Amino acid sequence: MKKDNSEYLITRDNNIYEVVIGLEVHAQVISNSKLFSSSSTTFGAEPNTQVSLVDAAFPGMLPVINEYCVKQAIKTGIGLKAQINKRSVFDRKNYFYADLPQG
Amino acid sequence: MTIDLKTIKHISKLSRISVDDEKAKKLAVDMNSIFDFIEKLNELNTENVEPLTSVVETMLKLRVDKVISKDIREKILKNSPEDNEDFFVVPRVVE
Amino acid sequence: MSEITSQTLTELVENIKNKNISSEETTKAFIKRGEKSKDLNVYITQDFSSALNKAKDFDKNPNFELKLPGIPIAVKDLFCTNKVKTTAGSKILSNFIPPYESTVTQNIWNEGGILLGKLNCDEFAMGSSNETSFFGNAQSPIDKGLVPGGSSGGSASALAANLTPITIGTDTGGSIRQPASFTGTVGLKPTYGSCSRYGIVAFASSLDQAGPMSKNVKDCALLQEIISTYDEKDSTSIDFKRNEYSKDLTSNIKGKKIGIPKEYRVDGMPKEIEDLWTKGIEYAKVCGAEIVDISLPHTNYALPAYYIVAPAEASSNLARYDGVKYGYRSKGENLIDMYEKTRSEGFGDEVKRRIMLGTYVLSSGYYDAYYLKAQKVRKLIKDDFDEAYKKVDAILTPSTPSAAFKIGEKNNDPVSMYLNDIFTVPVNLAGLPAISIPAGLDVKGYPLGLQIIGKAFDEQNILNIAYAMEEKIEFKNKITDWWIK
Repeated sequence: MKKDNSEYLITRDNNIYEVVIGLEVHAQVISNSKLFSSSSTTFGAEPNTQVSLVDAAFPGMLPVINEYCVKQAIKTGIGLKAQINKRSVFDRKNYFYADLPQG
Repeated sequence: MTIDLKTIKHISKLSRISVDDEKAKKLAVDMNSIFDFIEKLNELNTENVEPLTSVVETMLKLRVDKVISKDIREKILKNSPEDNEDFFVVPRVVE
Repeated sequence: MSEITSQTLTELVENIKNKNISSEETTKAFIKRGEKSKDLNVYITQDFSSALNKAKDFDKNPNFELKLPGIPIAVKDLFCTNKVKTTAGSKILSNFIPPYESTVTQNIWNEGGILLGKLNCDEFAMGSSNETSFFGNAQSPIDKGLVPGGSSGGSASALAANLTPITIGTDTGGSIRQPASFTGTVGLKPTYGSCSRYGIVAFASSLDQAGPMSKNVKDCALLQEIISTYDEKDSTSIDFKRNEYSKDLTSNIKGKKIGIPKEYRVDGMPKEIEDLWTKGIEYAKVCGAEIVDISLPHTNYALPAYYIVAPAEASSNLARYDGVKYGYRSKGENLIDMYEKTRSEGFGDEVKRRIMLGTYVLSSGYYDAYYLKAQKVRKLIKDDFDEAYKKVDAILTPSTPSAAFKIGEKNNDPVSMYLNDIFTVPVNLAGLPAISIPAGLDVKGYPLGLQIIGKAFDEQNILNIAYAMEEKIEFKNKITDWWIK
C-alpha cells in the first residue's frame, strides 16, 4: 500500500522513527470442510466427531488444501485492494501442545 | 561451529526430548562430528541460487470443498494410550 | 517346476494362472519357510493365519485377470496396513494398529496380493544397516553376522532368503538401493511423485519414495506398474502417463547414451568397486549403449546437504509422536514432562540424534546458515543432473562404496555409517528414479550392485537398461540357508 512517508515519521533526539501498525485479524472462512482435511466445520458437534485421520496427525497422513479457502483468501485480498502474489509458499512452524496433534 | 552442553540442553527443550548429562555429552560429540561434515557446504558460493523446495515443478493440488471424513471418533480414539470414549486424556494442562 | 519359494514372481504368477499350484500351497510354502527362519529376524509382525485364510478364499473364487493372483507378499513395516500392527521399527509405535491402509499396499491387495506380514527396518527408516530397529537387527541371508543394509533391511533380507517372492521398501537416501546391493537383489526407487506417500510413515517428505524390491528386473517392472498410481490424497503425487512397465520391457537399448560421472570416482574407492564399474561399462557397451563421460560437479556436497534437509524434515514429521493420540506414552508429572519422557524413552538413539540435528538447523539464528543453504545446494545438484541429461539418457554408477559390512562394525561413528549412502543420496535430492541391480561379488563373495539413474518419470528406460545388463551379467545369488532351523 502506498503512503506519503512523512506523515508516519517522528523525529526524536536526531533519530527518525517510523510508525507501523499491524492488525492480526482472525476471520473464519465459512467453508464446508476444513483447510487441510475433509472433516466438517459445523459448529457445536460432539467432541472428536469432526476430526479426521489427518487432523489427528496419524502416521502417514497428508494435508490437501481446500480450494474454496484459497479462493476466499484471494477474494479478501482483492477486497482490501491488496496485491495478489502469483507465487506463495508455506512455512511450517512446529511447537508442542496437547491440542496441536502434528506438533 | 561447536555444539556445547548448553546448546544440547536448548535443543532438547525445543524438541521435547529429555537428555541426561551423560547422554548429552555423547550427543555433543556426535553432533560436532556431523557438523564438521556438514560445514563442507560453506565451500560453495550460493548467493544467487534459488532454494529448491520442490523437486517437481507442479502447482499445489486443490481439494474440492466437500465433507468426506464423517464421524470416525471410534477409529480416532482406538489407539489412545488412556481409555476414554470421547476424549484424549492427558496430564493436566491448565492450573 | 522348481520349489515354490525359489521361483520368481513372474514364474509364480504364471503357475497360479495355469493352475499348476494354488494360492494356498504357495502361501503355505512361504509361511513354512518363514517359520524356520526366525534367526534372520526379518519379521516384526507375522499375519500368517490371516494370509492362509485369504489364500483359501482366493482359491475358492480365483480371479486370474489380476496381476498378483493370490500371491503372498510381506512388506516393510513403514506401510500402514489396516488392522495390522505398524511399528516403523520403533518403540514409540510398537502397539500401533492403523485403522487405514496405505495407497501403495492397497494397490497390491487390489491386484490379488495377500499380506504375509510386516518386515523389520531401521527405526523410522533412519539407518543403513537395520541396526537401529527397536526389534533388533535383521540378519543377512548372505552370511551370518552381516548387515542386510538399511533402512529396508528386513525387506531385502526376506527377499533374498526366499521368504517373500517380492516386496516393497521405501527410499529416502538409498534405503531400497543399498540393501538391494548388499543382498544381491534388485531395488528401484521411482521418481519422486510416482508412488503415493499416503499411509507411509513419513521420514523426510521431500525425499521419501516407496518402490519395489525383487529377484529380477522383470518382477520389479511388474510391481512398479501396480504400485505407481496418481493419488489425490497425496498433494505431491504426480499425474503423468504411466507405462505398463513389464509389458513394455525390452533389452534393446541400442543407441542409448549412458553417462559416467567422473565425480563418483571418490578418493579411496576400493578397487573391487572400481572394477565392478568398469565391468558394468563394458556390459552396457555390449548391449549396444554408447558411453559418454559426464560431470556432476556438486556430487561431493550431496551427502552434507542431505544430512541437513532430511533431519530437518524428520524433526517436523516426528513432532506428532508425543504419546497423546497413539503409541507409547510415559507417565509424566505434567504435559511437558510426559512429552519429554515419552519421546526420550520411545525413540532410539539414531532417531533422537537426527531429530535434534534437524531441530537445531531449523532453529532461530541457524535457519539461513544451514537449512536454506542446503536447499540452495540441492538446487545446484538438481541442475547438474538436468545439464547431464541434455547429453545422456541415463547414468551408470556403483550402488554402494563397499559390500555389506559386519553387524556392529560401524556403530561408533555416525558419519562412517552415513558414508554408505554416498552414491544413492544425490538421486533423492534431485527426485530422480534409480535402480540397483546385482552385478558382481567382492573378494569375500558378498554381492555388489550397480546403479542406473534415469530422467524424471523415465522408469521404463532404466528398467530396460537394467534388463539388458542383467541378461549379460547373469548374476546368481549364493544362498546357503545358513539360518534355517
